[in-house]
Amino acid sequence: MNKKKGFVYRLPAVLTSMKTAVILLSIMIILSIAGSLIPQGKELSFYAMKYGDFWGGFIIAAHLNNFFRSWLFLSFSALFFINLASCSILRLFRRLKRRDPLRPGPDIIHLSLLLIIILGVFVLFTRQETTVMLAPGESFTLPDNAVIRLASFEIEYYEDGRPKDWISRLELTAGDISTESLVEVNKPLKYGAYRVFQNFYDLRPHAAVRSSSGEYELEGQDGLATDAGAVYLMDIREIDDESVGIFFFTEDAEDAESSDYDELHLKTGDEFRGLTITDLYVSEFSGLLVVYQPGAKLIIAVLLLFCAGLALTFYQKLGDGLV
Amino acid sequence: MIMTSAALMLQFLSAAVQVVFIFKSSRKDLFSHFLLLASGLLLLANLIIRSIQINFVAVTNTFESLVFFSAAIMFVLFFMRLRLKDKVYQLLIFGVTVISIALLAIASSPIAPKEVLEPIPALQSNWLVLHVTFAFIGESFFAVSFVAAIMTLRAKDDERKKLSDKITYTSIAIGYPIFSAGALVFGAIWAYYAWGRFWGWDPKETWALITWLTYSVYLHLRFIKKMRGAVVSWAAIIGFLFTLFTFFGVNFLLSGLHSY
Repeated sequence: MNKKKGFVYRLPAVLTSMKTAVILLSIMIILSIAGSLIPQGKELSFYAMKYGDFWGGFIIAAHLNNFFRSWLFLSFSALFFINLASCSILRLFRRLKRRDPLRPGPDIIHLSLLLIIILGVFVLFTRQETTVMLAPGESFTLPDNAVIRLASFEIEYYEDGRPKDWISRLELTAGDISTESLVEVNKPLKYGAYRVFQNFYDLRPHAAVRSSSGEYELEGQDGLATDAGAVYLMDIREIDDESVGIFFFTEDAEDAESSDYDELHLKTGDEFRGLTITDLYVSEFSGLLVVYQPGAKLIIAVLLLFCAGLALTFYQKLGDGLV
Repeated sequence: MIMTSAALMLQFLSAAVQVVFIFKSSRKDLFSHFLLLASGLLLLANLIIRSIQINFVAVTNTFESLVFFSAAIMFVLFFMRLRLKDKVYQLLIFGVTVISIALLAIASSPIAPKEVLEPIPALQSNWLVLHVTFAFIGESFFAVSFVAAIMTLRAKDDERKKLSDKITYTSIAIGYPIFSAGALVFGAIWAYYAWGRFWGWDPKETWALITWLTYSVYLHLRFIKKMRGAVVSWAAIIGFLFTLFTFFGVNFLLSGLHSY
């Protein structure tokens, strides 16, 4: 009975002790290392293939595939939060009681860390995201019925052919108000708690072909069965300022996958095995990441507050002559 | 590449001069740190030239970041040498110079492509520049703390032990806020603008956090009287090993969004 009472009395001291802080930090290090070694968020079959049935099953059962959201990691994070909060509050009260000189640096650091953890949990429950791929002229509707239309999309390249920038001109219509903005990588569109990020792009080759039986449109790796075999459009490249379609042609129309194939490079007007190429073009798609994240500005403000706390602590230590 | 090789040569030369003076205890080395400064300036000039060529701050690939890391170490060592006159620091400066030589040797090796390439869209951000430069400046102080911690463990007399321990603490006290701001805060803000989220538990992010937690342990261990001494020094050593793993190990052993 005395032991129990003793523990209850000791609990606040344990929770607010520096030793507990160090132990919890060390546990967080070990858990983070473990989490970084197991690939996160993969398909369930991935783990069985990589680690075998037993260990793959164990990883799934223990939620190690989503380690940083697992009860193990979250419960130690919660303990760390309690320790940090109680340490910070106790220290502040003690200093106020003793009327110590003002040294807000470490307090700001600890307070901002607490806020970061709280905001992290808030993000966990509120953040929603989706990716949309739009061709110019296409649009999508946000849950609040605002409409975002891709007016134009441009890919800029460096001289060596690597992408330099992807720029979407977006028209946002919310109620009666319509605005236009340019969205680039690192420059998202802001609308309330929504952000639209330029995330990726896609190039899709298109070919129009004509045969005796009619006209067909092939789009990015589409296949077309002909009497002489199957035709697949693989890519379109600019060669000598002219669009050249890269087609795969198999000998066996019935069983294309097991058949050998010939690679054909064809321009508009070329004929092959009963088909005539009537048009070749590449369409560009803008890949947008739409994120609903309330409090994004607050998160940035808290991160900067953390920096301010670090700078202030450093300044105080300079004054102490410790640095 | 010529400038990097010349800078590497200067570091080798400086290390050789340092070795001579480490064993010649009667004379004072008044020369080697100027070689380090010259090396740092050459590396910086190399980065400025590359920056002009790519029209962006040249810290966007492994080679450039290693060159920046080495340059930062050179400047830290030079100013440390100016401030600290005690003979005991010579061994410390030699140890950190060796680390810098190793970094430049890796930069010169085939694992760090040296082509001057303009950055991909995601890297074209001022937040990225702050993220990379602050992180490496912080890590250059961690390199000093690493060698100082080893010296603390190996020191035979109390005075040397205290001195090395003070350098370990001072280096971490300077490096920790700079690293925290660069690796975590500016990194998170850049990630938000580039990828739409502040934190994604990418292996590089996780290991930066692990490194930060380790140095946090170091700073808190110093408040626990019983834990002072070897345990604290080991925390500083492990911290820098984690720093290196975050930079090299994650790139080669774990896959993620970070290209370097």
